[in-house]
Formats: sequence, structure tokens, C-alpha cells
Amino acid sequence: MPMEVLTILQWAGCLAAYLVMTFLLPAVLLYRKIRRLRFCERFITYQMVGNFYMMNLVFLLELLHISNRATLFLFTVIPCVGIYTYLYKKNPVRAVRAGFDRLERIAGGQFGIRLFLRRVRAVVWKQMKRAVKGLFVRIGRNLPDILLFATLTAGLCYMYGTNLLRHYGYCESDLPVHNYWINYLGKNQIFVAGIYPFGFHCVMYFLHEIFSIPTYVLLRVFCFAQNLMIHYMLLAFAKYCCKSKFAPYIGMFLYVFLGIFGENTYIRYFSTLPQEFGMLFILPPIYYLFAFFKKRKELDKAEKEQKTDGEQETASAVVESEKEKTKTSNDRDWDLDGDAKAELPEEGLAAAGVEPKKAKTKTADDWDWDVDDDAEMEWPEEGLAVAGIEAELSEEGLAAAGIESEKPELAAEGRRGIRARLLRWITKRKEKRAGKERKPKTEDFWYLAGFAISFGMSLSAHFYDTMIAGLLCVGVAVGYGFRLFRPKYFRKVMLAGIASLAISIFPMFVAFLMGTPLQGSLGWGMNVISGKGNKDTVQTTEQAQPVGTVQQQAGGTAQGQDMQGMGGTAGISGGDLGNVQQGGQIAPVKKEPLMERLTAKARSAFDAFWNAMEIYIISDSYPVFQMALVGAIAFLAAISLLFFLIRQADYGARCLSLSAGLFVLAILQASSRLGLPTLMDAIRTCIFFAYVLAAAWSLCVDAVLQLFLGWAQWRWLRWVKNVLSLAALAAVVCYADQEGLIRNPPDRQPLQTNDAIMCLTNIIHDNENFTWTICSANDELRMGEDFGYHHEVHTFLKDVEKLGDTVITIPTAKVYFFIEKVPIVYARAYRGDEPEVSDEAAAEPLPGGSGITMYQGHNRLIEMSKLYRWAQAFQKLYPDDMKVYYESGNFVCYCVEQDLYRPFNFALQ
Amino acid sequence: MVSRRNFFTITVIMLVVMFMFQIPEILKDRVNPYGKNEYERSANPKQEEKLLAGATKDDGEWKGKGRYAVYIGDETGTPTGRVMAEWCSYTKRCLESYRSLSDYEIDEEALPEAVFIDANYLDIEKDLLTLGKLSGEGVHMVFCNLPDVKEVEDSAQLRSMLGIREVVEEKIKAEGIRVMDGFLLGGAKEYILDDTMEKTQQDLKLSMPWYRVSSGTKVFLYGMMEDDTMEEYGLMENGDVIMRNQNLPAVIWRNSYRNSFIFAVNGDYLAGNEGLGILSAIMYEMKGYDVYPIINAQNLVVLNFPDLSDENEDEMMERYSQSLKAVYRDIVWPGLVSVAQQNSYKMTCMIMPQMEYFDENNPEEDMLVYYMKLFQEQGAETGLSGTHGKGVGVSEKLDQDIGFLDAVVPDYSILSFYQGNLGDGEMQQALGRDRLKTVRTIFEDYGDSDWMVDYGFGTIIKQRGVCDGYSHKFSEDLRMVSIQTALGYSNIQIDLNPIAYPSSDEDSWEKLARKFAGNTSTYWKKFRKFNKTTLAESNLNIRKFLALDYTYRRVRDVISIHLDNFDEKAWLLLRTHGEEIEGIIGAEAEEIEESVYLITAKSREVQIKLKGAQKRYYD
Repeated sequence: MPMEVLTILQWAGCLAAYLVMTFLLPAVLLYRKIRRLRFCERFITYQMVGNFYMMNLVFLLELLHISNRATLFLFTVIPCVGIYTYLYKKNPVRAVRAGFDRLERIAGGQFGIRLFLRRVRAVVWKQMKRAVKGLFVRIGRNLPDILLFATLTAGLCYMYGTNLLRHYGYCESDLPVHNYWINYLGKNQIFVAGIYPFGFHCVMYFLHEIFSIPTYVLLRVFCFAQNLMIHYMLLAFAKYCCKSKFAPYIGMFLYVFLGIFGENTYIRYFSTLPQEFGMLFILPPIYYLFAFFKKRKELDKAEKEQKTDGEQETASAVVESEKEKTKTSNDRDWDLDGDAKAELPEEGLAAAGVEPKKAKTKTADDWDWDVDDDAEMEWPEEGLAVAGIEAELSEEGLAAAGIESEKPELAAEGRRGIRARLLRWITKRKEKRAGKERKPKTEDFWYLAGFAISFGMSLSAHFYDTMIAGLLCVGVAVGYGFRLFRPKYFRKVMLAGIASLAISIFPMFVAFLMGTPLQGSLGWGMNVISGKGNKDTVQTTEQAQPVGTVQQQAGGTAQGQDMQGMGGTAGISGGDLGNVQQGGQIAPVKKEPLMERLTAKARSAFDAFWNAMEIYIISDSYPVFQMALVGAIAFLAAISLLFFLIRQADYGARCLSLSAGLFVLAILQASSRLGLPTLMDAIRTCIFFAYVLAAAWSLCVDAVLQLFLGWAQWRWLRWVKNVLSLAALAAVVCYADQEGLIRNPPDRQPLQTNDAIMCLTNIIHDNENFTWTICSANDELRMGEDFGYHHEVHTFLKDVEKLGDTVITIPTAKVYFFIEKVPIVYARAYRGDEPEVSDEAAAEPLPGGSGITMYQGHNRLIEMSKLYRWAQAFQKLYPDDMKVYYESGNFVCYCVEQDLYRPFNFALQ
Repeated sequence: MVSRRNFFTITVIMLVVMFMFQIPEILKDRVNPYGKNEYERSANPKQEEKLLAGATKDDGEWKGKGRYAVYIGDETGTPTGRVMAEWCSYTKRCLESYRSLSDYEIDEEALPEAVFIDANYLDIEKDLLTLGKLSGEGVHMVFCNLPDVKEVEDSAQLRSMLGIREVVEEKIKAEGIRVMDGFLLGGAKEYILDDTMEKTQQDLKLSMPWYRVSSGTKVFLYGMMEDDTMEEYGLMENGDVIMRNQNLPAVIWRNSYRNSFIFAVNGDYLAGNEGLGILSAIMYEMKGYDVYPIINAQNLVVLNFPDLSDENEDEMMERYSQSLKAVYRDIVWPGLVSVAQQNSYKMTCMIMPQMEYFDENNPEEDMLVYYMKLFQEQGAETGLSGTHGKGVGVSEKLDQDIGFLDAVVPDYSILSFYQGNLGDGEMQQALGRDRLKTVRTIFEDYGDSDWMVDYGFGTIIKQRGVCDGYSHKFSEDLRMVSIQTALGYSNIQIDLNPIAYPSSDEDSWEKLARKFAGNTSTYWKKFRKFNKTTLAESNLNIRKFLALDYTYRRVRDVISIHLDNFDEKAWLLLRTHGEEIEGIIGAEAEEIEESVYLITAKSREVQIKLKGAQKRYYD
């Protein structure tokens, strides 16, 4: 079977497994509860729930040291069955009993087998027909959307998938480490190398255990599945933010297909890395915050209106109307259309005392998550109780239900401190015990819960993702500042934030209490954040600059710009410095007017950002898009004011949030140049910047359309808006094509040869587990850890070169030696000018050093030359026992087959 | 009251049932062609003549084809020399033998495949230079035995050549011998006693010098030692099994010296017929693969069965409470059939009409017919045994036996004859009789100094037993495995005379049957893919084998074999060192065990395509 086909099958398997857990299973469980949400919102929710469950289940079982396939399976299936029966009000006992009854009847001959099979067939046939019909109806309703989505997916496959078929190996040097950590999860050793955000590893381990996908295969090919999800998440977020149907695709198109972005903005997508996996969780918190602010406002508005009609009547009416809404919604079909209305029956609403006209004008965003009396939702409360916020949220719940009168008392109690809180808690417990009916959680609670889990997962996956998500939240704080800083909002959001951190830190904290030290890179991260590592970070950034044109352009200026930026920040301009030096002594500095100084500072800050942008994000070759980048930030900020003026506050706030978020990211991007603490390397920040920028560009187009066409809710106007957004997309595509901006698929070179992966795959296929050893540089150590043994080339050669009566044995039936005849230059593509293994290199002393230094540069050549020479000598001695397993121009794999009773002595005297 | 109609129906049904059961039996009895030897067709005089001509041609032709070996030693006067000659004949090699190495002049134009050296004919001081030169020329060498341990100890160059790091002890007695996997057919073997075995099982020569071989050597056979002994010599520490095994005394090993391989045999393993397989295995280890012809026959020969007269009646009544006739019919025969069927063997039964010719018990004609029918049903061949009791001459015995056979089965051709206790002269005389002119195979007991298969008495094939079915000591197993490796051939013989004339309690059938059944179904299991034959069938295979000549060459992954003197079918063994067959033309291939294939050639030209080393499942 060609490796390409195998890779495609492996990738499809990984994607399917991941989708089962993060889409299919959550959809089966939650669909009926959230069916009135837009598809993009449901998608985000399914993703969050699925990932959250996988991560935390593994965390829990690992900390209890009982993680294995059986427990993972049990703790996945049983809760799912439980949730399903609870949410869908199924009676499993009755169902099992009915099943047995039927079996008994079949066995007893009362119910003919043919009749039974006919009925089963009829049911299956009916369901299939219904499903196919439903599918076609949905396709028909959303045809343009589906076509665009398919095109986007095809484009992603072309841009990011083809690399998988060209290069089979790991593309990043830290992947073997992650592979190692995941492997050890299989041994119930979480945090094997110290405490580190293990969310990504937990998900990989879960997929590995439950779906029997080898870890090395996951780490090889999952990057593309993950990449698809990252882009889908971006699309879902843009879809939520935008009011027109096709504007989100504009940003997606620019982001995926155009070659305007620097290589660093997407090159890490070719590796299955925690940071990239964590990108899945950057935008969902923002979405949940947007939704929360919107929903909370609506609830407040409803409360106000109810107050005017009389407190008692209103409260019961709201509850009744919500009940009716829930009941009615259960009978409705799934509506993929983002603008679909929540068409609530007028009769029901009228009966509930809610004005039908108002209800009709509500969009699908105005959904009712849980107002069902039967659904008490015990589990989220427990989850929050862990985080210690039960009291606050309950209070809000009570407040939302109209028990405002208690509020001053509670506030007064809150001022009295812990005693008052304790009293309140005791009172509540008493009330609960007394059987007093608890008020259901309001909808905004679930948005905050979503925010908490998604933000928490970003921390569980990677600190950098949390940092970015946090900065974007700052943007939201700016955008929704007019609501956020009201106590009712602020307290809730803050508590949700704290809860999210608590949830994600909890497993690490437990491990820390159990004596596990922090992983090395955490220390480094801490230093960076605290400023100790700033110097190193700047250096790293400079060294890590991309090769090629970008580097050339940046080469002369980057350092100078850094200095300039810092100089500007310090308040001493170049001219000032000249003055000081000219005089030979410290001359009194002439103070410029405040406005001039501020202008100078703003200019230098802008220059610093511009410089960082042209190096890392969009190069000078694309001035239009450079302007578009900066313009998007400014434009969104400006247009948001207009939306505030025309009383589309939520939309305006979204625009302003995104603008402010990008602005904060821009500061982070240029932080080293601005003399600020470098929380994150610019080379990494640019990934996130470009990612968020795609959504911003979409929103810009959408905002224009919304400004002119979004003032009324007429159906035809919406239609015009959609057509115009499609036209804008077509225009952008035509422009990009005409200007030759569409890029070719990037070629990300791996750190291993394809031959090595091919050999490893074949070795695993050909042999029973743990009957073989691979002697190679280092990557296969972790890749094959679940299947066989590994022997380091360096250790082997050190033993071989020992003089005297040495006996070197590797006691497995087969020993494979991976030798690069043209050793790879680590982290660099083959250029064709690499030196081949030679006797001269083999004659050089064995390189020293630790880590992987002996496999880098010339050292690797020495190691491979020595091993090649040894292999040839050994093959001369044992021509029939040491055979070439696989050979290509650059690589050869020898296989030694041996009798385990007396393994070969690999030492050659 | 049964109605007439029902009565009629019941009667018809009963008749039908009766006929259903009776007719096959009647037919089997009436139509059984027991009076004719069904294997007679395998004896075609013209074919045999042609095959004989092929087998007796000058072996110088083989040298022309590059298949020749040089033997330094006495080809005719020493057991090793005899084995060398036998093996070279079987493997179609020309053997040039020299009494000393100095007699041999290296022909650089036509170097031998290997030089086999009897160390007794080696002058170490003088010959080391020549040996070194041979090695430099790339000529592989096999030390069929080793020089005296003192000489080895004293000569560093010899040690270096043989790959001996150290002489640990001049003489030790090993606990057993281990044969490494992939050397002989049948896989790894350990000839060491365990608690369940009798001490007599261990009959290998275990005294040997203890040579510790250096790295770069490959050991095929080595002596097994107790851990205490190894620790005593400091060759095992802290129970390190790998260290122990690395230092065990080597028995047969290979060293790479200059441009050739040097094989060393520490002991007299090449002095008996077990040397045949060892030599084939050594040749295989010299190359990346090997193809050689084999006989492909597995026989089960039942000697002196049945005895058709009631003999030794008192003893029989005492032991079995039955006459010998009844014991053979009711006890022995079912047991034999059961073992043969279980292991898919075809029996060759050498009948002995009677042992004592001067008593009043004469062989019963009915019994002969009875057994002949049974043999016919079981596909067994009937031969004649030459065994006779004391006091009767050969000619008298043969007169009586032939007269008896003429009376009962006059048309039955006797193709196989068991020589028993007849001498060669007596045998020659016997074969002159008209009734025995049809004999194509003479079966003999195993003799260490005899060829396993050969022409004898003109155009007749001599076959020898390989193992006694009642006993399977370590040396017998090594011999059997070795002969299977070299020839794909085996003869299990069981003599039933001890049952009729027991000499001890051990000769009772229940005990012998247990051993026979146990041995047959255990030790031959790994060779079940070889053809099961009667002596007449194997006779034809042997004739083809002896006549066959072949050449082969390999181009990349394709092995082309050309067969001369090919007659309908030929069998070859292909050993590949791990390579697998992808396709074959002109033959069929069956995997005997890993890396060993039985090739059944059906045409003169055979092409075997091996799976390329580069061809992997994922590519």
C-alpha cells in the first residue's frame, strides 16, 4: 500500500475519531437542548463540550492512576448514557425490559423472527428515508453556504493537507517530547517530565486509547484534522459576529488562500502541537462573552418590562412563556440558517402574557437554554460549586428570577464579610432542605459556563493560547465596557474567569501538591513573563527569523528598529542622544511640549508595530494588505461608534471588541520593540494576530453592509445584504486571482526522512510488538515506544568504540539500524549539497555533548558515517543475518535477525 | 395386526438397509485387487535404465559447472572422508581429495566452492600460510575436525583464523548440545536431559575442548553448561544469561577471516551420516541462499509383519492370552494403522510368513489374503522380509516363502525386500530367483558406515533405516534431522519380531507401541510437508534424485534452475535466509519452515522470484 494512501486513511481515521468525540457525541446528547442556536454556535458548543470532557476525564483518571482503555470507555459511555436518558427522559430499565420481553417473545415463538426482521427493516428504512430527506432539505436550504464551506475545506486540504503526503515525519523538534509525555499517560504517569498544561496530551491520549490510533500516527497526521477545526472555529466565530451570510468567507479566503501572510503565521499548522491545538479555544471565550452580554441585557430588559406589569404576574408569565417556548421548540426542525427566527407560536406566548409581536422579532440568538422545570441541571451547579462560586451565581439566578427585593439585604450581608456569606449559605441550604423550589439557571449562566470551560481549556492546552484569549477578553472589556463594569455583569464575568482558571489549574495543582515539580519550559515561561527572559526572547526572535525574502528585508532593520522602539519608549530621541554626546558632558535636556512628546511617542509606537508587522505578518510586498491590517483596526473602532449611535450596541460592541483585541495584540506583537516585557515571542504572536485578523476583515465587510442595509428586518433587505456579501467575496477572489496573490501550498520540511517513517511503519506492521529494536538517531525512540525498543546511535557507537573484551548485545529477535547516507541537516530541508557519509567523517572522534547536539550539523554526519562503516563491516561478517531492509538514495535501513538464545555481539574487535 | 401392505413396506425397507450396509463390504472384499502390487507401475525398467545412466556419469562434469570441493584428508579410509564423498555425490559436487594441503595446488582460474580439511592431515606450521592464501583468494574453508587443542592454544594465527578468542579448558564435558535455529531443518534443538528423560537418552559425545569464540563469529552448535560451572570459570556473572550464552563452548561455528568464511567443527560430527545435513547447512551458511536436490520421501517400514503362522504359542498365551496370529490381527495391526493414519504415513510391511520353519505351524493362506486386503485398503506396500530363524538356510527359507506366495498371490510383484540378517552374498543369491527379480529396493538396517541411499546389486536401490521407531535418542534425532536437512528423507523402521519372540518385558507391544506412537508423532511433526511414501515410491524418488543434475544462478531476485536428467518430477530444497518466494514458474513451492521451501519441479527450467528486499507492505 502506498504511504500516501495510508496517510490519507490514517488522517481520515483521526479526523473521524475526533469528530465523534467533539461533534457527533455532544450533538446526540445536546442537540435537543440547544437546537434553536445557530449552527455556528452549536458547533462551538459541541467542540467545547467534547474537548472539555476528554481532557478532564483523562486528568481525573490519570490522577487516580486508573486510566486505561476500559476505564476511559466506561467513563465515556456510562455518563453519555446517563445524560442521554436524563435529558431525553428515557427510561433505560424499561427499554432493557422491553428488549428482553421482545427477545422472549421471539424465542417463545409468539413473535415470528420474520415479522421481527420485517419491522426492524421498516424502522431502519423509515429512519434512513427521513435522514436522507432531512439532509437534502438542509442542503437545499443552505446550498451556497455548503458549497462555500466545501470549497473552503477543499482549499484547506490543498494548502495544508498536501504536505502530509509529501513529508511523513515530525516537522517540529519538540514533537518527540510531546510524544513521550503522551506515551507515559498510557502508563498512568501524567506530568512525567513535570507539570505542564496537559490538555492537548490528554485529548491525544484519549483518541489513542479509545480508537487504537498509534500516538506517533496521531502526532503525524492529526495536525491537519486540528487545522481544519481551527479554521472551522474561526469561520463559526466570524459567522456569529457577522450579520451577512457570506462575509465570513471573505476573511477565511484571505487567510487561507492568499500568500500575503508571512510564513511564520501558518508554518506551525503543519505540526500537531499544543499551542496550535489550543487555538481552538481562543475564539470561543470571546463568542461566549458576546453572547452573554447580549443575553444578559435582554433578560434585564425583560425584567424591567415585567416590573412595570407587576412583579408577581410577570415572574409567573416569564416562567410560563419560557416553558411554552421550550415545549414548542422540541417540535421544530433543525434550522441551519443563521438568520432563522425562533418562530414561537403566538398562542403560547399570548397565553403566557408575552407580547407576540416582540417574540416574533427575536432572532435565533434569543434562545432559551434551560427553562424546563424538569431540567434542574444539577451537574453544572456541582461543577461550579467546586470552583466556589455557587453562592454568587445562585444569587444572580435568584435576581434574574425577579427576587430583587432581597438584593439590598444580600449586598449588606456581603459587606459584612465571611460571616455574612456563611449565614447566607446556611440560609440557602436550609431553604433547599425545606424543599423550597430552586430557581432554574438563567440562559446567561450557560454562556458564562461556556466561557469558563473554553477559557479554561485554552490554559489546559497552552499558556500562550490563554494569553491571547485573555488579551482578546481585554478587547471585549473595551467593547462591552459600558456593560461590563456594571456590578451585575462584572462580578459574574470575573467569577466565571476565576472558575475557568481554577478548573484548568486544578489538576496541575493537585499534581504539584503530590510533589511533581514544574516542567522546565514552565520556568522559562515564568521568566519571560516576569521579564527575566526578555533579553533571551529578543535574541531568539532574531535568530528564528524566517529565511528568504522576509529575512533579507528584515535583516538590516529589525535590530535597529528594536533599539529605536526602546529608545522611543525611554523618552530619549536620537537627537537628544546626539546632543548629550556632543557636549561631552551632560547638557540640560530641553523639554518639548506635551503634545509633541505624545505625538512622537505614538509615532514611534506605531513605527515599532509597523516594523513588527512587516517582518512577521505581512511583508512590504503587499502594501495594500498592510494598510488593510492597520485599517481594519481603525475602521472597526470607528464604525463601532456609528453602530452605537444607531443603537445597534451589541454589534458595535463586537466591532469595538475585535478592534481593541487586535490593538492589544499589536502591542504584544511589537512589545520587544516598544521596550515592554515580551510576554510572547513576536514570531509566535503573529500566528494569533493573523488568525484574529481574518475575523476582523470579515467583520469590516459585514459592518459596511450592516450599516447600510441592516437597519430594518425586512426579508428582502436581508437577501440583498447576503447577495452583496457574496458579490464582495467574488470580487475579492477575482482581485486576488488577477493580482496573482493566491499562494501555493507551503512546503514544510520535516526533521526526519520519509524513509525513516516508512521503515518504522513497516517494522510495526511486519513484527509482533516488542520483538524488535530500532537503533537510530532519536526520533523513533518515542514514536515506536508502544511497539518496540529503541537504542540510541550515539550510545551504540560509544560502546562499539570501547576497546577490549566488549560484548554489545541487543536482545530482541530483530534489530534495525536506521542510517542516513546523506544525513539531514536538522531543521533544514534537503538542498542536495549535503555531505554524504564518508570514511573521513567516520574517522573523526565521536562527538560529545548532551541532548541532541550530537545529531546536529557535522556531528550527525560523524555519527551516521561511523554507523554506516560499522554496518558495512558487520554485514561482511554476517551477510545473511544483516540484510538491507530498505534503501533509497539518502537512507538505508539494515535488519539483523538473531537467535535470542545467543544474540550477536555487535562489538567488532 | 400388520396389514399386508405395511408388512411389505417394512420388508422392503429392511432389505434396502441390509443392502446398503452389506454391498460396500462385499464389493470391498470381492473387488480388492490384493493380488497385484499397486506400486508396480513405479518400477519401469526403461525409466530406471535411463535414470541409472544419469546417476553413473562422470562427476568431472560437475567441476566444469563450478561445483566442486577440495578435501584434505583420506576420502576412502576415514569416516569423514566417506561422508564427504557421500555428501558430494548427493549434492552433485565433484570432490577432489588430497592427502595433505601441500599436495593441493590452488587453481586460481577455477577455485573450489570450499576446501574441507581433516585436521589430522594438516601440518599446522607449514599449512597456515597456504590456508591464509586460500582465505585471501576468497575460498571458504571447513575444518571437519580441529587440530589438537595444544596446537590451537599455541598458534595465535590458527586461533585468529578460527575465531577462537581463548581456550578456556582443554577438555570439558558439556551437559548437552544446542543447535541454533536456522542451521538444520526442524528449528532450534537442545539435546540436554531433563527430569522426565532417561539417562540413556543422552548418547552424544559431550567431551570437547572449551573454545571461547571471538566477536564476528557465528555459532551454530554449542555445548551447554551448568550455570555453576560458568560462574566458576568467571564466564557468567549475576545470573546474566546473555553473558553465559556468549561464552559457552562452541561446537560448530563460522569465522570471517580475510575474504572468506572459516567453519570449524569441534568434534566428530562429520564422521557419521549426521554429517550430511551439517555439511549442507554449512554450505547454506556460506551463501546467501542455497538450492539442492532432495529425495522427498518419508517411509514407515514395518519389519517382519505379519508372521502368518502361530509361533511361540506358549509365550504368546502367557503374555497376551492369545495366539500370535490373534495378537497381530487384533492388537498390533489396529495400533499400527492408528499411528500411520494419525501421521499420514504409508506403511511398507515386510511379511515374514514364518520364523521357525521346522515346527508344525505353517503359515496360513487365509491370513495372508486377509492382510493383503488390509494392506491394499490402507495403501500399504507388501514386501518380503529376509529374516529367518536359526537352523534354516537362506535357500530353504526362500523356497518355502516363495512357494507359499506363489500359491496364494502368484501375481503379486515383490518390489521391496528387507535384507534382515542376510549377508550380501546371500542377498545376491536370493535376488537371482525368478520370484525376486522384480525387487527394486533392498531395505537395510542403519549402519554408520553406509551410504543412506545408493545403487546396490546392479540396478537395485539400497535404502537404509534412519531411526528405530521404538527409540529416539539424541544422536538418533540429530541424525534424523540432519538427513532430513540434506536429503528430505527418512525411514522409520519398526521390527515386530521382538513381539513374537520377546527377550524381556520391554518387548511387550503395549510398551513398544507407546514408544513408537510417541516418537513418530513427535519428532517427525516438523517434516510433515515432505512426501509420505512406501519403499517402492521412495525407490523411484531416489533414482530420480541420484540421476538428477542441476545448475542454478541468481540474477537480482530471480533464481533460475536448470535441471538435467529430469524425469517428470524432481524435488529441491531452497533455503533463503529470510527471503520469501513471490512467484515460481515450472515448479510448485511449499514452505517447510521459515526460509525453507520444498520445490517440486515439473519442468527442466524453473524460475523462482523472491520478494525483493526493498519490497515492503507500505512503500
